[in-house]
Amino acid sequence: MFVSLSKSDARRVSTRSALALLLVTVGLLARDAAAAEGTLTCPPELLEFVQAPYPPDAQAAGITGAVTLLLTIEADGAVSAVEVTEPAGHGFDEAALEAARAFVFRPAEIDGQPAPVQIAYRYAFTLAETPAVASTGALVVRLVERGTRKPLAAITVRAGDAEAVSDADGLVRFSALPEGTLRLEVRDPAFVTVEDRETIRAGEEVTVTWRLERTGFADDLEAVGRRPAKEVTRRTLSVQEVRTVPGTNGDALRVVQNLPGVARAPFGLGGLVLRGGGESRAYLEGHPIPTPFHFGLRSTVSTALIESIDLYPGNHGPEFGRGNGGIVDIRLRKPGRDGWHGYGEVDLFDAGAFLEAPVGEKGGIALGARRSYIDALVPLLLTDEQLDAFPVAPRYYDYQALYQTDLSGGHDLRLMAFGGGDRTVFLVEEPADTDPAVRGKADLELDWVGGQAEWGWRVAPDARHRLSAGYVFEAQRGALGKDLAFDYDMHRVTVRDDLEVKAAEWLTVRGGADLEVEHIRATVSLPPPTKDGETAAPVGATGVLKSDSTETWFMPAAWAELQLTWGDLTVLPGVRADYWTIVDALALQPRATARYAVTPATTVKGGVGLYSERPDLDEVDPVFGDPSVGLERSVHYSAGVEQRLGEYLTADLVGFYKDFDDLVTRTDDAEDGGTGFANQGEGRAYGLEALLRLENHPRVYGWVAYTLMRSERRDAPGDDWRLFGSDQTHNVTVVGNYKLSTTWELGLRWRFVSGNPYTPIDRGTYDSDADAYVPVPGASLSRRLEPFHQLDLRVDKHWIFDAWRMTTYLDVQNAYLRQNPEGVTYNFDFTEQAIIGGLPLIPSFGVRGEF
Amino acid sequence: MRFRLLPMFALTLAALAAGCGDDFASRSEILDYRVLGLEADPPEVGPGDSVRLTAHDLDPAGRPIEYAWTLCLYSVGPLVDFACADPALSFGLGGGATVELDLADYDLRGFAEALGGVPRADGTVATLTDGFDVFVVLESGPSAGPRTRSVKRVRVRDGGEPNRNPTAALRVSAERAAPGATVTLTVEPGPDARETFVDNEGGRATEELVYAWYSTGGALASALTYGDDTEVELELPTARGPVDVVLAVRDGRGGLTVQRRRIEVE
Repeated sequence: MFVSLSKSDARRVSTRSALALLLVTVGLLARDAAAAEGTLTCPPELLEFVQAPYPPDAQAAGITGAVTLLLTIEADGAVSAVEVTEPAGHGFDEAALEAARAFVFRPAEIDGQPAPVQIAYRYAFTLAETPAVASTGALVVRLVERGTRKPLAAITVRAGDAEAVSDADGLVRFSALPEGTLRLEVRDPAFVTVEDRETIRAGEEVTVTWRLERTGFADDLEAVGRRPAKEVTRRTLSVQEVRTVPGTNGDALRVVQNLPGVARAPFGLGGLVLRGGGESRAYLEGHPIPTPFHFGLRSTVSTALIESIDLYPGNHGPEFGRGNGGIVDIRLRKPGRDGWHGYGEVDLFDAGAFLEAPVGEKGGIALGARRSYIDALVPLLLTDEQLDAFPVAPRYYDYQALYQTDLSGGHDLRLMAFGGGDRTVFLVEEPADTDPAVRGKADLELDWVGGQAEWGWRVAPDARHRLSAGYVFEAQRGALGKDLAFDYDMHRVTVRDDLEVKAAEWLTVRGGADLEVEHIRATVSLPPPTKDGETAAPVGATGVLKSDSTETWFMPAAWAELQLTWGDLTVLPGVRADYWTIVDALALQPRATARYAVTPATTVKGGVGLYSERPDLDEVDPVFGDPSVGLERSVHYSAGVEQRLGEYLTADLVGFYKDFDDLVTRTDDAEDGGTGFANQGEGRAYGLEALLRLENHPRVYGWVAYTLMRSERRDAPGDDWRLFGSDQTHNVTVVGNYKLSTTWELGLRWRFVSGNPYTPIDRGTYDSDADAYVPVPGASLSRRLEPFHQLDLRVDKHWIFDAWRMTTYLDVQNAYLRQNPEGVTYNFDFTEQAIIGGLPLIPSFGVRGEF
Repeated sequence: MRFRLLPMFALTLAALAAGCGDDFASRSEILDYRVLGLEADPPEVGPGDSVRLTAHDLDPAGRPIEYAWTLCLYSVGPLVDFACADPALSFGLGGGATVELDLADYDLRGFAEALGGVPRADGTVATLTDGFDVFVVLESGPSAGPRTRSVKRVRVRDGGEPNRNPTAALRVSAERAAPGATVTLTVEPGPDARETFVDNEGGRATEELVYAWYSTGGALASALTYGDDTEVELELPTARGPVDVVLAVRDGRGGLTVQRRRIEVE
């Protein structure tokens, strides 16, 4: 990994010293193992240059020289050690050593966090008045990526016999080239080779700009913000992977569904069921996302704002809680650091635009918005029969504004505002025979608006503090016909305070507190909700329950974790305490993970931990449920091995077991009138996850993900075990993307997933008052649909211009026209059944222009 | 209910949609033995009153039908197939298309008092003054065929204004018509068919009648076979023979009347 100092460093130096000229710095060496695993997200910046005295004897003799130093820069920016690696003699070495010790840097950042690094630094001593200067000239080459205009760092340029490396701003400086015509050349495996000639004139500086065209994937593949692994299972996706996985239309959260441990959602929709069950939560920088998906079609966070996505299917650390499932944590990037950029895009579903720009020297702002037009296109694209089967034509929009800046003294600030909405309206003119009373106009609407603020502070070289707060207002409204309706408003405030202190080389302490406060007003007229494995009865038979409530719930939590390192062994014991006022319950949840690097390429790992979640809100509602029910709990166990297989391949194999207890299930007590619940269920999910991944290759990326799992439960002691509704025995996903040339990419995704279990219906009982048949179910979730398999293809074509580029893509879902079963439907009296088919072949064409 | 409301609603809608695109026969086509309604007369009674229970059924094949009636004083409800909460609360009522139920035989007043009120699904309890339902279950069908299980609620209430079954007349535009011809079916509700009553919120409300149309042949305009349309067109079959049309009128509070007419296709 090579970096250089920024242009501002060089400028500052040159203005302060006529004699000492900073030429170039090359090479950054990770100083410890932890840093080695991270990615340099910000190079060190020289803030205070100290001019070295020119050795008098050398000056008198007209001798110039350059000393190459190895500087150790601490996380606070101080230079703690200097070593001469290429001496120049004549007193230059001692002078450079003394001066460099007093340099002050803005610290480097690895994975966004200040970190100690080592850099090679060349301290040059030149004599401005020497006659040699008169016969040389200067050349500045500015390297940018063709199409995006992004500066290209760490690219070697050859000018005649001289070589230099571009800095973070893409600048390559040659200060003393001999007069005459020189051959210039850039040879880098990631870019098309460029050769040119330039005339150097004595005493003049020539500036040229070269636009380099990539031969492979962008650096995004590499710069995914990876942090040192400490969890048993954390899988990180890069933005490039998010953008081009076929069948996902570049949607951030839907790409996560292609990783091990994530159940396939029906009809290609969004949804997160991780390792068999329990509530899985999606976070944006540590704060829960109110509505992760637009009707399951799109995630509500713009991909343009995302740096990386971390998936924790289980055994996550104590910094997250309130769910028995897994975690998806989206991390935002710093916008506008290298100038104005933006894009506009249009595809089958929606159109969006994005713009980012620098604000000041250390800040940036980004604005994005998106609006769908499916509601206009669906009637044109589908047949009448398909429209009957999929009559919902959703309309959605979202917007985001993000500002981030680095402040002096090791502080940084991030502000974000966001909002969005979904709506669909249609007429159920011809009711289903199985529930004829449900008819009329259906109107569903969901709106949200909110914001986040985060203040980060490097308290000390080895201590970092992060305080953040979020607010969101969410309104859900829905109605169907005259009798069914809900109207629900929620204000949610979240606060997080996280502290990390590296107390010793072997000990890092993390801890924090977080609070979620929800104020909810709900007016509901709905039938009792069905639970996992249950079959919905006609509304006319069950009747409609009405509830009108206003509640405020507090959910405070505190957590702590130690990271103990002994050589290649890392152990992380931790604990989290959660309290829920809604059920007046405290949960103390110890958790621990361990990792041991058997060899540099092989790591074994394991973990165990307690997790808790509150019941569904209808289950504690006095009308729909039972306010006396309490927390559901689970214990996560996992163990596995990570293996690096050569330069590009990694393998990850994890076995897991999840033990559920106190599950809230329906009672059959007559006194409850059929809507009673109790913490009487138990469950278990166990299996194996395997991930073989190809990454960091210039032309190819992809993975093979396989999950073998069984998840089952019983709803009361003594009951038979039965499957969870999300149980999928085999889940295979193959994702591959190949860059054919600088302008063509091909991608595919193939999935094979065991069919979802379903509850058969044996017969119907005729309810004369409802004039409908009430289904009489057989054994819960005792049958399984045929397996799902589907191939999705994608081709991207880029047109690259000097200052912008255009990309078109064709994304074809279900390329070989598989009729995948997604459910079972019945006739009016449940004596006949038919399979509900999945999506037909869906070609999606998109255009994106970016600068 | 935050996390489940919208998905639940969406799934309900998806289920509704899913039922539309299949090739099942419409519920309005009577192709085999069907119970089209259980009528309680009166539909709402006091704890010491008698009720006349009638099965409105139709078998296109004209086979002899067997009936077995049962009374359950308290059923857990539709989620468990209207199972009787306790076998001791279940009583046989005999056979036949029509039976008499004398509630005085079951001491409903003592039953309600012993329970301290009958539990409702929303967690509240109902007293005799509020009114609660007893359940009548009918197992019926051709002697050699499968049985149909049907359920009817009878509202028992002490005092107040009892509900009555609606009245309505079914008219057909032609009692004899050519194969493939279209016949118009019309319902004329009786003058006092739509009663006013005290709703759950304590206000006055007027019943809204719902019409369910059936035929043993031909094709009814499917979107209109259930709802408040008072006129429906029937496209007669191309085969000659009798076609029975049936109209069931419900008042939404347990009241029911069923009317039949026969059209000869010739």
